Amino acid sequence: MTSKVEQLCLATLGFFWAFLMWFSTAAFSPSIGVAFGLTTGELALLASSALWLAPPGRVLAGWAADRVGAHTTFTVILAVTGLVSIVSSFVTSYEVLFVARLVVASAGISFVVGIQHVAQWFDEHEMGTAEGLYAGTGNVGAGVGALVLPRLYGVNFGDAFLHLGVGALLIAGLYWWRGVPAKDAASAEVARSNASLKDTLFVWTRYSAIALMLAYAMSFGLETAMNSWLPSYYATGFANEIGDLGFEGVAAVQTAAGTFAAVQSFNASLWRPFSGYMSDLWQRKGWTPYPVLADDRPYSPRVHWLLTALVCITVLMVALTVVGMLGLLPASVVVLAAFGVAVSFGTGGVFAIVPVLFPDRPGTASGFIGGISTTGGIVYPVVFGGVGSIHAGYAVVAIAFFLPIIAFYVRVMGRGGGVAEGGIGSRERWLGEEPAVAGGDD
Amino acid sequence: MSGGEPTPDEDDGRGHDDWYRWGRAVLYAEMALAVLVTVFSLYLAFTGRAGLLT
Repeated sequence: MTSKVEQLCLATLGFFWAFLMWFSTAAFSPSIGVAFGLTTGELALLASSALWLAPPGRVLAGWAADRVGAHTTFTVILAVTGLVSIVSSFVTSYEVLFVARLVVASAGISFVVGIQHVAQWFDEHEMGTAEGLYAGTGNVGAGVGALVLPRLYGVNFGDAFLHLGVGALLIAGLYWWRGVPAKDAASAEVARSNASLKDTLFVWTRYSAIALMLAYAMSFGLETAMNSWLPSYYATGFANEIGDLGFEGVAAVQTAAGTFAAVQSFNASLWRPFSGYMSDLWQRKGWTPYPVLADDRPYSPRVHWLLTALVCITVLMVALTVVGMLGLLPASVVVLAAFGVAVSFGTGGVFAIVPVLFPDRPGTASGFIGGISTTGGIVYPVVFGGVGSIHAGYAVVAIAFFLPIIAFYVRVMGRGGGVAEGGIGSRERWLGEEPAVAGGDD
Repeated sequence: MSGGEPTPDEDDGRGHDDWYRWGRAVLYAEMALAVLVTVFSLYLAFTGRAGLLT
């Protein structure tokens, strides 16, 4: 006998540990660099490799969660990455270590599996809070890893990788023992029977799924981009101001810059459950303040809440550029904290909608929306570093990327001419003549 | 129900299982933790002591 709370705790624990492993390599980058004599370019390659497998891996994991159940998929991900993490603690070749850590970083694909798992257990009116608690608490693994692992293990990254791997195996066993894929057999069967290629293509071609994927690229994609970019940004863009605070030398400046950067990471993670709760609250109260968005769909208030988040993210990106160009370090960090909160509003807001819009294909939809969007984490830093002023990149991304994304979101979810129920090719084209489920695209 | 219509239950946990109140307590605790971590980190950094947390 189990309960939805136990399943939520299982998914959250599994995702927290997966996130810890996902970014554990980055936490020991300096030690690994010294141990293997790596150049700055090689270290940058190692850091960016953490994101390489996320887009295709999440798509595959989401589909697998629908097909064979979240408990099986999560168990396999934790077991495989745990075993490879243990192996990586014993290798002496950097090339082998690189490949092993690439596999371990794929633990991050488990996000969409937990999303599917929680969606299969909780009711629509509490979905935002449940998914927010799952994802937000799990996301903290990145910040905890950055703060705790180096202090716990020093330069002994091999020991850390060994212990993280053993922990993953233990949680995999627990997940296999206690995990149940859905609250009833019928829900599990619906998801399993809707996991064909044509179902996948149907989801990928819905305008609402594309709009939510872009919204997630604006929030979570941006969050991962900032995680990798911000330490360099503060160390370079505010070098004089940090020096004036009393930090001297490369190591001290990096520590201060990393501390400022962590402000974004912690806020983006820890406020995410609140965003899901707010989505539930807006839905419960029926709040639909924006005249440009439809208010007659069953999920409209959640859509309005998400637009609030997207606008806040865009405005605060421009604000980061402004305070940066003015050289105001304290103001920049305060804006960054608010920015982290806004990002959490976006990430929590998106995944409060996804299971509601695609109740029969939660894993496939989560895989597409949560997977393809992570390419933002690779693209944005290239733009940040590619413009003339180090401070200007935020505004450039906001104007060149985010305004068009918001315009598309409004076009899809809009009043009157909104095409949220539409897509490239009709429902019948992809799925045949089966009747549509009222209240969503799925 | 159309999206613009409020549902009857107020924001007090009614209409939800017991878990929802615990869930809200956890999310408020996480928000408080985020604020504390932010303030603590900034205090250390702006007093030039971020490097001493070892």
